[in-house]
Amino acid sequence: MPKQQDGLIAVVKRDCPTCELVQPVLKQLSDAGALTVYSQDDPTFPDNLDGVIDDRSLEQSFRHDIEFVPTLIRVENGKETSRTFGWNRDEWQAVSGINKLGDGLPENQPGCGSKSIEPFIAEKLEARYGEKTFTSKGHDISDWHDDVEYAFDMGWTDGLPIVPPTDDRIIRMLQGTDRDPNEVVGIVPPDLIECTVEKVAINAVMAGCKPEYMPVVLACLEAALLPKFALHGVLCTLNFAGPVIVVNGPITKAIGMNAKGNCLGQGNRANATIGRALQLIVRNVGGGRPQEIDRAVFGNPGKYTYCFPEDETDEDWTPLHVARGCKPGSNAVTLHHGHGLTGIIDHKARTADELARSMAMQLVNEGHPKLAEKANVILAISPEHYRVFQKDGWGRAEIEEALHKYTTRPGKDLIRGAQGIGEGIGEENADRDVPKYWRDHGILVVRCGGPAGQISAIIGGWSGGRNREEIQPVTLEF
Amino acid sequence: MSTVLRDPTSEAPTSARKSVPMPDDLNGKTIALLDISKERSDEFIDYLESRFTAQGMKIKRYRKASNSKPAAPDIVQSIVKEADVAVVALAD
Repeated sequence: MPKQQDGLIAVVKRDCPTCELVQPVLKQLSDAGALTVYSQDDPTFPDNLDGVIDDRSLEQSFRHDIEFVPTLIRVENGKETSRTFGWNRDEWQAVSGINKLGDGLPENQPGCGSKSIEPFIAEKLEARYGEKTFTSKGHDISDWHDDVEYAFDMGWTDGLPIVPPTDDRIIRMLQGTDRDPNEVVGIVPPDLIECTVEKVAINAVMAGCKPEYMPVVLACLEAALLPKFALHGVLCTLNFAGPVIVVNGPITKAIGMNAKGNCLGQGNRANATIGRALQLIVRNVGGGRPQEIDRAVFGNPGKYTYCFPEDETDEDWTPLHVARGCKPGSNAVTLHHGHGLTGIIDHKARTADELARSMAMQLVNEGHPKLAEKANVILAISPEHYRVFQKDGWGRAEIEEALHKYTTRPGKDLIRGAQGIGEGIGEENADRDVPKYWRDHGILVVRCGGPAGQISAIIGGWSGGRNREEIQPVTLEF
Repeated sequence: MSTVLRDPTSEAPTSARKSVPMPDDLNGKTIALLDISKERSDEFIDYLESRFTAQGMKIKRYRKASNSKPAAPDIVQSIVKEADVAVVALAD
């Protein structure tokens, strides 16, 4: 703050009953000596004063750190020595050094919030007048240029328009985390680049995230960078897969995620943008782009975004993250190497055992019916199907046990050449019963979905999962 | 008035790196055969080895732990140190 002129400074706005109230006091102070008045919304206010300075740009309000109006500041020897806000006769007299102020006014009346700290305005002011601390390069776009098209031209997008990452938006996004913007979150493949919190925030802005999503986005990136997730591999693969994110914990409700109807589809901002942020980071920071390092034959629509919360409203259900070792009530993300969605439609099963067998008939088809011990899947059980299990007293343990039992088949039917089909597992498996999925993490069972519909869903998996010790879904508590 | 957009990328300098030039012939050269551990990679690399060996080439075999992850740095360094050219191969 440059050296200020000695005297009194008042900051007011017309749209404030207390500022209206103190107009006669401001006149008294002005008549008594040096008073500078800044008006945040109307340079003709206060009505009874000349020389009011137009602060509709809010620059002076920002530089004087105004939080309330009216604010009265005393300056001596070029520096602020005291201030008060709202109207309180004793305090105004103490700051101004002038007695008998505001005869006829009440002793005290609270002020209003300053325009300069209103949401979205505060960050714009910080961007415009604050100290520049970003380390990321700034691209200057003239007003004649379209900022959305610029992002397309620069290759920053996933094919959909992005939210332009302006300084005020990034400042606001960074308010969603206490972490230092320069902190390195991790090394992102394939280019093995250090990704800072600032870069996460920039890509989160572009994805359309809100600041309160930042803890989840950061957790997703940290989880994706765990060695067991093998992000480089799932990025490079010919296969369909990309990261699929399941979010657990109270944060899902706090940020308004959707675990109910259409939870795997469009329409919810948190579901849509958190997954997208991770993909944009991999593209923009890591350098992973289709037909470059990303050699996917088809990919899948989930590579735009694939993120949803588990429905944890049933207290008797063990949520996925707790089943995988997290503390009950904690927040966590689980990342699966996944793609697409295969429906299980069963309107007839009335017992838990029958429904498990029915689901198994579809589960064994993932990838290829004759392949086994290759990939992991997510099984999303709808509320109506869950009721069938519940009726017979089945919880997570019973469901998983049955699914693994019923997806285990004689190896002789699966070996290469069996049933006249060349694809299959090795001949050495002919004499054993072969599980389709690894017991420990092969089927990630979650509950979600709308209230009506006897259907459930399988989210398929990447064949990198066959390296079960090295490559696994990961769960990170945060 | 203009708008400033912050760069979302790594901002890493993009410089084209040239590959080591291919030798004019393989006489006296050591050929690294790197098996990337896909299905039946070993069979394919066995076949390549037999064909190269039949022509009198010197072969060194290497194997990645997993086709789904990059080769470990020590394997890459060994190839660089011990061989003149490399064949990286898969099957399926």
